[in-house]
This record gives sequence, structure tokens and C-alpha cells, in this order.
Amino acid sequence: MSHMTQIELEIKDLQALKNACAKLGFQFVKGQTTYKWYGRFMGDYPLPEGIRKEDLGKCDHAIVVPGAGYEVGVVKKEDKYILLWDFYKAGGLANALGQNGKLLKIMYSTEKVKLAAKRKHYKIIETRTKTGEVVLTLRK
Amino acid sequence: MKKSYKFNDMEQVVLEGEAHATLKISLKKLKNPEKAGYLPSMGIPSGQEKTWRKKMPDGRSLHLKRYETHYTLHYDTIHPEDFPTLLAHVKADLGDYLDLIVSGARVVKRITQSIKDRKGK
Repeated sequence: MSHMTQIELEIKDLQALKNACAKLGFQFVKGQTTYKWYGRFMGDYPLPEGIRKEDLGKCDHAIVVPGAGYEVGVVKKEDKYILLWDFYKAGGLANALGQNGKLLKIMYSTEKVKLAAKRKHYKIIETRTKTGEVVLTLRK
Repeated sequence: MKKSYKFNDMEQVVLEGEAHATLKISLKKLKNPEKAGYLPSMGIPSGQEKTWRKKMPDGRSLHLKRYETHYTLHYDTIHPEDFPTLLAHVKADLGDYLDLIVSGARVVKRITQSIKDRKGK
């Protein structure tokens, strides 16, 4: 069964994505041109916008999640990247990435803010509240 | 003496992240939000002493709150001025949480309806 979809996140900073992957214990594989998924489009979910059936499984880079059978495809579209994944439970990505890739989205956002702060010569101290909310404290 | 942080720097940093990603800044490091273009605003009370907003050219809304010991800065995807209703302020403040509340309310409505239907049989 395939549940192929796009994570609602536009990647404009590949370094932030790499950092986010490292923080989550995932492996960003530069230049890996295919990613593992169910392998056959079943038509049970609409194709991500601008992606053809024959493009599924092809990517510019990939994210490998330890313990998961499937992988995330990092696909270049114009000046940004999109993330494609098969979230079918058996593929093992849904647990690691959270619903709609939420964990990766939060971590990417955090890393992007940290890089932007660094460029401005600030430091970010990252802490978490009891409820899991990320607090980014700005320091010089 | 340590210098204050520049509003412009902080804005560029916070706007890099997702909406509602919040920066925490020491109270001593920020001076005169109004001079930096922030306008006093109403906000959902969450322990803050004062709230300001600043509309960005792309429509996003920076939201600055002053607490007893620190400021927080985040942005919302819409500026309340563009939807001048109380609901827009609520929507801008709560973001995803509002969607959760609405979803929760729908579930409660369905359960209530289901109980009513059973009683009716």
C-alpha cells in the first residue's frame, strides 16, 4: 500500500535540513537519487503537486531514518526543495517523523532560526518546556 | 555596558522559522518597541504585561509580548488588521490551536448527536 505525499514544508536552506536530520538521528544522504517507498502508486492519495507518477521514488538527496524501511526523498523544485515520503505505517517513517512530518518541520524551523541567529552573531539557547514546546533564547 | 539587541536582527531571525516559533529575549536587551514600528495591540492573555504587533510587507504579523523578566517574539501568518474582527485576533494568536479546538468541538458535537440519536430510538 502506498500513502505517497508531500510534507508541507519548503526547504530553502539545505544546511538547516542537514542539521535537523542530525539532531533527530536521521542520515541526510547527499546525492542519493532514489528513495525507498512502496514502489507502486496505487492512486489512493492524490499525487503531490507537480509530481508525475513516474517521478515517484526519484530524488536529488534522501533522508534515511534508522529502523524505517522507507526513506524521505528530497526533490529540487525551482529554487527550493520539497520532501516526499510514503507515510504508510509499515514503512516506519510515520512514527519517526510524526504526523504530517511535524517533528522534522519543527526541527528544520529551529535549525533555520539558529543559523539565521549565527549569521547575525547571536547565539540561540534551545530548551524545552514540560509540554515539549521548544523555547529559543537569544543571546549575544 | 552591554548593548541592546537590534529589532531588525531579531525580526530577520524569527522570520526564518515557522509561524509561532518563539524567541525569548532578556528584558534588558530590548528598548522602545514603538520606535521600531511596533504598535500596542490586544492579545490572548498569557501572563504578559503588554503586547505589540508589527505588520511586515509580506502580510506576516510580528507579535511581541513583554513579561516580567523577558520578551517573546514570534510571527503569525496573518495580521489582525487585515481581518478586523475579534476572531481574527484569536485566529492569529492561536494558530494551529484554534484548528484543534474546532476539531475538538466537532467531535463533541458528533458524540452529543450520537447520544441524542440513541436516546431517541
